[in-house]
Amino acid sequence: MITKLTKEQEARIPEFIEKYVGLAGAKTNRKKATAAIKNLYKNMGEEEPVVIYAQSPFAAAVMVAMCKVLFKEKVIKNNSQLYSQLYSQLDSQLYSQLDSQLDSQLDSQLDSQLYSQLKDINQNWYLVIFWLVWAGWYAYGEYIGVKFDNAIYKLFTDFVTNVSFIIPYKGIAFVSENPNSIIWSDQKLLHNPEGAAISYADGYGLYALNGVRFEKELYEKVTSGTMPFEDILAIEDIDQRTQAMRFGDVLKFIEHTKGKLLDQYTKHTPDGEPINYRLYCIPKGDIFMVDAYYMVYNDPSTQKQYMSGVNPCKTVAEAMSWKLSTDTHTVTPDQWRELQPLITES
Amino acid sequence: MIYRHGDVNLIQSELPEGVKEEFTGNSMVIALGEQTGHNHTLVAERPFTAYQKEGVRYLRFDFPTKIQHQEHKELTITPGTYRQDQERETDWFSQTVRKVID
Repeated sequence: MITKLTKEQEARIPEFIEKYVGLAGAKTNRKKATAAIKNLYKNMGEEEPVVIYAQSPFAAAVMVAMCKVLFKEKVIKNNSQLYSQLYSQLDSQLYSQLDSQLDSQLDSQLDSQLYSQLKDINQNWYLVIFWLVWAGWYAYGEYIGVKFDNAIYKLFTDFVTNVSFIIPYKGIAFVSENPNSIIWSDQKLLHNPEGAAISYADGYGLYALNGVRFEKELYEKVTSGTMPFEDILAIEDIDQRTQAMRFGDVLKFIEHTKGKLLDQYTKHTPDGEPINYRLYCIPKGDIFMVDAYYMVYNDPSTQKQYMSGVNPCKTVAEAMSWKLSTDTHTVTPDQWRELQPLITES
Repeated sequence: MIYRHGDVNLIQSELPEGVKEEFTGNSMVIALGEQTGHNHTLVAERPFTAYQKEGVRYLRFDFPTKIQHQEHKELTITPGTYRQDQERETDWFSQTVRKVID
């Protein structure tokens, strides 16, 4: 059982992360990708597929749709086996080999570092790219001495390091080439305020700001810098709203709407950093049909500014304790005041 | 005792009768952000147990347990039983109250 990393092993973690994150944007090697797909089909006992490449997942999906229309007499049969093969046969075996040889805390610490970067991409589609997390994890496991079944390890790694997106069918597989550019922020989050964070050769792209994904239409509105603040506030998802607020000016909006500061409260982190909370009432008018109450506050961990609607109240403590309450359980203003930034609140 | 970790709140409470055990182990994702893919994860050196009753999750920690997230700083939860709540907000356009979505 491996319970602790040596300093040398720990020092090499960033190298593995860089390598496997880098593979997400590496140019697709069609020869290797085709061989890996055929090997996987063969291992499943399936006939060798024809492998068709597209320049983006979108183009691959369009190809599938067209084939279904053109060849409706010969309906393309799904190959759901591929994913069960990847997951239940290959990955689970590798995982159990890794898990049995690695202390659970170490497992959790290392895995989360790779996972946090690559899962951002995966959530957009049915992407094999996600499995790079595991490939990186297993490669690191192998480096620190975990023993894997070589055949399974090779089959899995060859596939996931060469194929980023596949729509598998019986006898035919549609594959997208890798994106030709992936843009990360300094914090290693998908981020590009000037265009797609993930771009494919045919112009298709995925949009993200500081790791928060946007549909293209909303992204363009947000980054234009001309989106009315009331539209920003109407964005339902609080993470998208918070990102969009960076392109707007909260104070100008409050000034414009004749918002009134009702109360403010400051807490401090153990290092003495102030965390500010402000409660505003924006009177009914052009934007709201009734008086609207908003909290503007900083996140103790990130200092990001949030703006969030609250029920009518007079003080910050009332407003914040209301946010923490539910229909059946009440958190009192005193309980909120007792929360200590970075100790019991972050 | 209350812990506020982003939009997830852990409120110390009694374990109600009739709960069903959901999970026992050392690590559990208790909330997943739809747009960021970020998650609130409990990690402990010794196993803890999660229960469910009527859509509400209760967590029983016999030892200090950490709650982690990609953006929010890690907090250490003292042993006890906690109810997991989601922060709420008012949408003044629709004049409705909803759970914070992230």
